[in-house]
Amino acid sequence: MAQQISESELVLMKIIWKNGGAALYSLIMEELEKEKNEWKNNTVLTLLSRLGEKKFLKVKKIGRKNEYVATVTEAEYQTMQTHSFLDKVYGGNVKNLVSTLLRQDILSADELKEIETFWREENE
Amino acid sequence: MNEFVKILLSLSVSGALLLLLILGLKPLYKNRFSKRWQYYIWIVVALRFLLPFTPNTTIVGSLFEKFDTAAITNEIPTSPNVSVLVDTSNKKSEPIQTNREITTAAMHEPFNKYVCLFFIWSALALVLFVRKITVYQGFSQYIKAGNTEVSDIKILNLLSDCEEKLNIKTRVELSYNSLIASPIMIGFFRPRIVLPVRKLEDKELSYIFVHELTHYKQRDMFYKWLIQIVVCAHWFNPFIYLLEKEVNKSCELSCDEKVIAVLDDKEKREYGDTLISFLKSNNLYKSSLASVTLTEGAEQLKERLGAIMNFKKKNKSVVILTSVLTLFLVISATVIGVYTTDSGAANAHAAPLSNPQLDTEGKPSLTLDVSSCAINVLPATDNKISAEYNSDVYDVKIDESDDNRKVSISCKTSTNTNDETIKLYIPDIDYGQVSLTADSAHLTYDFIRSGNIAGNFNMASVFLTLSEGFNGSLNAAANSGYFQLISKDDFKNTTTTITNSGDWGEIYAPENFTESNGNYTFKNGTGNNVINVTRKGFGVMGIYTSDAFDSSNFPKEWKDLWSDTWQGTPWEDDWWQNSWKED
Repeated sequence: MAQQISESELVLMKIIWKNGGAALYSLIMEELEKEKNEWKNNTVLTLLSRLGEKKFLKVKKIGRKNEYVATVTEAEYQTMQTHSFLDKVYGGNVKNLVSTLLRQDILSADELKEIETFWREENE
Repeated sequence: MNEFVKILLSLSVSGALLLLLILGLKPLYKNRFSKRWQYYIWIVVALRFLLPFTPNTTIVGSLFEKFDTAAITNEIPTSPNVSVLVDTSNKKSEPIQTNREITTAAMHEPFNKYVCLFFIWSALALVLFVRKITVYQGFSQYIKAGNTEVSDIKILNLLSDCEEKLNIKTRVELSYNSLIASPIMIGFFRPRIVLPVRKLEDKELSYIFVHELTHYKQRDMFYKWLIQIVVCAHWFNPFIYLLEKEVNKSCELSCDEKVIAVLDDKEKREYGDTLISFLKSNNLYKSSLASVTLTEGAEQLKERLGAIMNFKKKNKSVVILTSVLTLFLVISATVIGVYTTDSGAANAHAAPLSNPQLDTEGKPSLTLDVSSCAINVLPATDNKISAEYNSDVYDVKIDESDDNRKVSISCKTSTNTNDETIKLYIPDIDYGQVSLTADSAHLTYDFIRSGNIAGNFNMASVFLTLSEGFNGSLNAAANSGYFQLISKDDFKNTTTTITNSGDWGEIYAPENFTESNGNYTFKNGTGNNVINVTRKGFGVMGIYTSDAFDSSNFPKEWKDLWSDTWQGTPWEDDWWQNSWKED
């Protein structure tokens, strides 16, 4: 089981994914500013290096600058997280998950049908 | 081995002396000097405990010699710690006359005793050090296991602010830990601040951060471990634990001082409150050495709070006074010194021996200092010193003013082939102090009948003969080379000690001498004429009585050396009897 990414770390990962899976430190800071996040330099560096320790990021030296490269894609990460969530909360049972989604009106009947169609087409 | 034990003990004594000196001066500086100075001054003490650097004549070095000689004459059993410390109290101010070359009591002791002491010392030092390391590792693993990373951006930003304020470039990790009650900082190169799990105000957090980051900036972990090394090496010295305590205490004071330098009165009070709030809850895991914590104990905290409220910026005169005292202490550290094994030769040149065995009053003294030449001393017929030599090659200085007769001979050229022997005529009279120094030289002097002789021979071949009825003493050290001593009256009325401190080589001694571990002793009659001879470095020493001496006994390699290197002529068994006295 891979390690978890904390909420604030995920913010950084999303910026990197949005930028095609690699980003320079300066670009990350710019993006954070755009999102009105007032994060200090050392805070960002700490989070980036934690992501590195968890093997979600690799650091590539470009001259004196560091480029942070994601080792997993956003889709891979979502799959990983879904599996982990499913295992943890629903004991791996997808039916239970779907019924919860339906019961709580998170998933509408129409959406479910859409998914069904998508699923059939995929498997034909 | 015994030399090692002695150096260690002398380091311990001189470190303790310096420690007591600084502690004694505390009333002078405690409230005047910066806490930072009061913290770092202990480095001088720590280094004094660790490094055997020393000038030639030092207080402790001389003390150890005194101790050595005292042990010879009074047969004090060696229980070093106690006796040495007693010595320091009453002998410190006495002028020091004892020569280093005096044979030490230690050398008579069985070799095993020192090996034993050495092993006990090193085993305990090692065990202590390993234990300290494992305790530290255990502690950091214990901490690591309970760590949760702090991902609250607000707190991380706060830490970043503090790092920027203190200009710290290294990224400092931050985590929570439910196993601790007081914030700590661990790690040497990848520092990590660990916070206890409890609600902390922003103000409190920033004080904690600044305090811990200041520890990191002062490199306190390294300092603490330096002290731990000193403690392990000097575990037998009770004063070392005093040093440890003082350093720990002044470490926190110095850190507080730095933190509050930028605070106003209200903030100072808040900072003090933060310290107190952590004292209330005790740490679950006790280990003061493993890390730098925020608070250590109630008593100490009181002192820290006092210091916080009394903090004043230092003015210029204090700065000057501080530098003066620092300089004084560093000089003291050097002057206190340690016992060393090989600085003796340098000393002996300067200081003639004071020897109780012969009354030198009214007798002329003789100083012979020769280097890079071959000299045969012959009796002078006209009570005057003179020499026959090649003035192109040698530089001979004779000074007969007063009753202080001095001869110094050296070689003018850098490559002396030793192709001629200088004939030096010296009156055959009773001398008082006699100092013989030979460096890379050949010296034959075979008619000494009186005097307190100090001999220092380095890379030399020296042939000394004490005439029949010799009255006086001899203290000689031969460092690498050949030294031969003949007593014409077979060491009558002498207390003779031959000490072997050398490496490769041998000692030939008369059969009636008592041997123990390569050293020889002999006592005859009144025993008033004290003869101490020490072999050092590489080389051979031959001690002979008048009839037992026969140069045909010489080891083959020395005959070869004699003919090849020194004389350039084939070996003759009776050369020493005849060749020098041809005319």
